[in-house]
Amino acid sequence: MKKVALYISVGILFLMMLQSCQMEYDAFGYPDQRIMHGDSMIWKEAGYDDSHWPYYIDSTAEGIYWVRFDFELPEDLPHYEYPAIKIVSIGSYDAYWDGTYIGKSGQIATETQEEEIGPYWSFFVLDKEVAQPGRHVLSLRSHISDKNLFQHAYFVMDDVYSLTRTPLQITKYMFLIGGGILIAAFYFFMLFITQRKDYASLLLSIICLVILTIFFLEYVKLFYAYPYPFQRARLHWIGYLHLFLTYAVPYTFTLLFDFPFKKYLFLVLAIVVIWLENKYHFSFDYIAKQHNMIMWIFSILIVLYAVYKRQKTALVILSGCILALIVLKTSKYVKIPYVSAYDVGLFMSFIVLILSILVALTIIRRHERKAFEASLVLSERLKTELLKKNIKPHFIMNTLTSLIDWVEDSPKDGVKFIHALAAEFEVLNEMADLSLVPIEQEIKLCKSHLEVMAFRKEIDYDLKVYDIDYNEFIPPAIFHTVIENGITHGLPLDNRKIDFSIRFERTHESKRYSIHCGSKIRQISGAYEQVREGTGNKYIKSRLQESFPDRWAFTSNAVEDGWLTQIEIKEA
Amino acid sequence: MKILIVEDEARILKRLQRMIQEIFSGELDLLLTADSLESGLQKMKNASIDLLFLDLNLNGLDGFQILEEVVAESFHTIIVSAYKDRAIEAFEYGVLDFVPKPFDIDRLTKACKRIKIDQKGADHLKFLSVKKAGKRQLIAIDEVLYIQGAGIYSEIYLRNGRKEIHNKSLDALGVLLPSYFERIHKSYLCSMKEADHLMVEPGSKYSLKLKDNKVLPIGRTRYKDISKKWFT
Repeated sequence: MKKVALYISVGILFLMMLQSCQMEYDAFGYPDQRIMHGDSMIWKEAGYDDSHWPYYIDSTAEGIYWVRFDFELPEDLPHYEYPAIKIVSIGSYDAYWDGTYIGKSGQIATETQEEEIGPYWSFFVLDKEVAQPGRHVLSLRSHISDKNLFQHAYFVMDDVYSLTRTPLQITKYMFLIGGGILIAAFYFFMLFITQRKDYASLLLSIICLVILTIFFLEYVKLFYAYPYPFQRARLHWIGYLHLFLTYAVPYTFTLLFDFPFKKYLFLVLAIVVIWLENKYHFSFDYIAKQHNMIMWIFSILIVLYAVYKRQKTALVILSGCILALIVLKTSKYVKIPYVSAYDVGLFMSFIVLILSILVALTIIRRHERKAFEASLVLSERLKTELLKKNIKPHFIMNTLTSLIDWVEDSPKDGVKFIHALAAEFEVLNEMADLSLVPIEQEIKLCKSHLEVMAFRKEIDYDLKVYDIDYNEFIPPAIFHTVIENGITHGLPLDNRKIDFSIRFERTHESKRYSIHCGSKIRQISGAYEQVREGTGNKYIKSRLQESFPDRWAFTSNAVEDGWLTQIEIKEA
Repeated sequence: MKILIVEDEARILKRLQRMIQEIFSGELDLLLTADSLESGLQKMKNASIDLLFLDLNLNGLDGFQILEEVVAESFHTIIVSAYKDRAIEAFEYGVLDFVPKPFDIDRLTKACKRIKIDQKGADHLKFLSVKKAGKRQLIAIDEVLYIQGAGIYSEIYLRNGRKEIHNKSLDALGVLLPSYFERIHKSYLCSMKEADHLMVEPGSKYSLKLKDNKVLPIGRTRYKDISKKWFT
């Protein structure tokens, strides 16, 4: 059902994308430029032959240079009521249309005056008469003061209204989606706030914000005519943010899924990224695409591993990743005016990814809720089990039978027996509602139980404790259960004695209790052997899991001088 | 009388020992004790006992596994257990009695007396456990047509025409079987559910015809009672 919802929303996004492409698009633009160092007012003329000019020159910050666009306005060009051109240029310039000055951007530096930096793009409205079909020349007398900037210039011609409005018409959809991403960022952040240590959510929140920032940086050029040097800074930032995503997205997946080869994978990723950066650092668009591709490849590798290991929701994320890649790769077949179809595809692919993660998180939350409910049920069951321990017929009836016999035989000892029994009941009752009890109380329980059992079995039981840290807590009746097992399965030594000992050891990362039962082990013939995994051990394991989820170890095995049970609890 | 007590609780074992000595006093030839199943089984093999007192939960083991085995033996078994809720199950296997813990001497005496008096059990017996080629096998009591005594053991004749051997004597089985099993002859116990009609032949020879046409003899002294009890 959730997958269906995901696909429907992706479908709607796709439709929106296509709808934005259906917009009327009858602009003319992007003819080739020719460029020349130097300064001559002849170069503004339409009649000047610039065929020997190069298309591109390396260093432009050495004085005045001219850029010329020699182009043919086609016969089928729509009839523009108010023809206008949008010139996009790094560099300040004076613009000439067929030799006629039409305006300027910034102020070119003169001997007496510093350059006044112009905006990255400007609109120039033309007369209807000069924008007729046929050959035209747009010349820009340009200058860049900043040596770090590289020249580039292009122009688009359209009716002034569509020239100014169409980009905003298109980007409005993108900003709608941007709002969605912002909400997702907020949602992930709240998940992190309510569930600290959930670093995947924090990272997802940051990823959403980064995507949103790339989004904003990509489209800011359509509605804000920033000073042209910012263009380069903007591209740098977009590059860095893409680089961040290249690491962050696969890393998030390693948090969502268990991935054992994390170090190696990110080492390879680092090598590839450094190599790319070295080689293509200034090819902004190219490197962004490459970073993005690498991000997908590494992410899909991690998710594929998770699918292979049958990890929860891996399939949802994998289908999200694949769908996102399809969206990204098909975007180049869609033509969108004024904006790069690749960028649109890129954002769409991120949306698909975020949606699939949201679906996955919903599924995970549901599993967690179920697990939580199950743990509540388990806790209740363990509580009952603890209470039942001493009212099980085997315990109570045998105890009462022995007790009757003691009372009949030696009323004085009978009374002692009753006191021992009362003590055990009392401790057990104190523990009944707790999931962790002070170690001292647990030892008290064990001692009173041994006292009761000594009356019943007429065996001399002894319990010694070593290095116990009385500030520690453990689940109730854990040692008690181990000792019960020892009594049941151990044969007393020849002096009718069984010695128990509880030893505590602490290392820097774990605590260990060793409970030793010094007895002969009762041999059980094959025919009557039952699995040692009795209800007692199950109870211990359930209790440990309840209080120390997945960070405990329980071993119980015969040793030379009896039976040794070890409980290890790793530090959280 | 040779008796074995299997009980892992030292105090309870002593109590049983004391009380059994008191109940049987002079009749007691031998009283063995064991505190585990292992040694219990060993002692069972070595001494041919007449009566076994068995705790069903020994050292964490479920005694029902062993129960199936001991009821196939020639001796009677009395269960002494804390698990009162499993009494009926025990009776289904064919134990003489089930003494719940805690118990006193009166309850124990009552259980012991059942071995002497031909007093029908509360119709709980559902299976007869027989040993066949060393393996235990349970026979549903409804499958049994009649049982013929053969000295220290018995031959059980089944509905499917087969015959099984039980280690208990006819007398011992008589104590355990449900009330619709009638001792029609000193060598025969018959399920009266299978009886069709009585036949009197010349020379005061009485017999019982079963539904499957098999004819069993009826003891001369028993005829009157049987006729009165089952055919009027």
